[in-house]
Amino acid sequence: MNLSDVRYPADTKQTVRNLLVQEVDRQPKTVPWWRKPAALTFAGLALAGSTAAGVYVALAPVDDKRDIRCYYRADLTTAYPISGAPGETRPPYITTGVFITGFDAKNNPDPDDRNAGMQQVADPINLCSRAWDMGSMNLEGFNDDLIPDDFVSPPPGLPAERTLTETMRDQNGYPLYPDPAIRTFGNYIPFLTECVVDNTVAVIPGPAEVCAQLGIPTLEK
Amino acid sequence: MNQMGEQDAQLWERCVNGDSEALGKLFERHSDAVFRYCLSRTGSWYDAEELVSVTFLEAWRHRKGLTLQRESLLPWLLGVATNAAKNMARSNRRYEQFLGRLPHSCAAPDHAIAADERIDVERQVKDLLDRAAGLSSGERDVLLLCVMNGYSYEDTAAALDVPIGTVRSRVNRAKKKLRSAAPHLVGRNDESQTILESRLS
Repeated sequence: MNLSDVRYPADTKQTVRNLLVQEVDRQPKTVPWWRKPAALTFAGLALAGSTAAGVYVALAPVDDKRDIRCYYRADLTTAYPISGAPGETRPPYITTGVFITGFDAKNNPDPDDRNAGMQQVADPINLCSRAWDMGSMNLEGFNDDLIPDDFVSPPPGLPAERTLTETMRDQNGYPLYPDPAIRTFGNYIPFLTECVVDNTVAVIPGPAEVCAQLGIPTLEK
Repeated sequence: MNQMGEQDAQLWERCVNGDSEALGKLFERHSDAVFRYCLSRTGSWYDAEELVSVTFLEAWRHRKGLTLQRESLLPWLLGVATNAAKNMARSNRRYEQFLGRLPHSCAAPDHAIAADERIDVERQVKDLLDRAAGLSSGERDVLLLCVMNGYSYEDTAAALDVPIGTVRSRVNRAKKKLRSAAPHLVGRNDESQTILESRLS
């Protein structure tokens, strides 16, 4: 092999790219003097009484995180056709969650709770990353345009038939599956952002600004 | 050097204004070249992966200090990589937590670059680095950039922030020293810049 043939390893490139973007976003920004609190006070006084169109930036908490919406695209409304079922469409997201082991549905203490038997999800990004890894978010190939050209998609087949040995990680560096014995599928996982739709966590493919761009709040941690 | 889409200068301006996505795009564009250079400096796939990340984080940290006047950001990134490699211990301390989360590529045989090919490249690079141990730091830098990675004298001068004449004289000195220490690595023809690279094939 020539040195000139060497490329950044394709299996980690996208994850590292996302980690870098996230890391620099975490670093404190330098604030010019005129945006510091004292200057803001004067600016606030000067603006008092006036109205101004602003950029929609908001945070919202979600108390119940038992059902998580993983959106196919940064699009809250488009429904997608289902092949083989003319006229049928799928919603713009799939709903995911984690069952409580041993929950007895027949003796459900709260029958009106539609999420009974599900546990609170601590890391929605990780959960939706698994859905992307399994290929559930690109069933008909309608998200192919989100996949970078140099990404090597896995061959068809179950992960057990392949030999992926290293634990695949999500954009935050956490293993996709807590059990190292579980093999990953290796499908493309885009950068994901947690927003809020209908008081539910909505994990949407796109940069941190995607919630504001869609006019919905970012999930408050 | 630029591909379709935004030019490096536009992306860099967005970086200077704090747009992290622009850094992501620059990573997509230049990570292969930076990785090759880092691999030729470290002789280790693993260390090169870390050095690439440190390079882009350092580039971001120093973004206010560079007004891009060339078409490509790459020479400057190579310069950042050079400095980061020389201060590896300090750089790694600065980004310790990040590097702890950094995923490393898998060397399984079903991956694009097979493990044996990877080991082979590492071995050859290490061999060359060992033989170049007698060179001064500046001579090694130009050897790695010009000869191993094939960058022009102009790009190398930009990367190392030295005059182009300095690059020329360092290359000549490096070749002269290597010719006596490791003659098989440098041919008799001084004009050939591809001898060391072809040694890696």
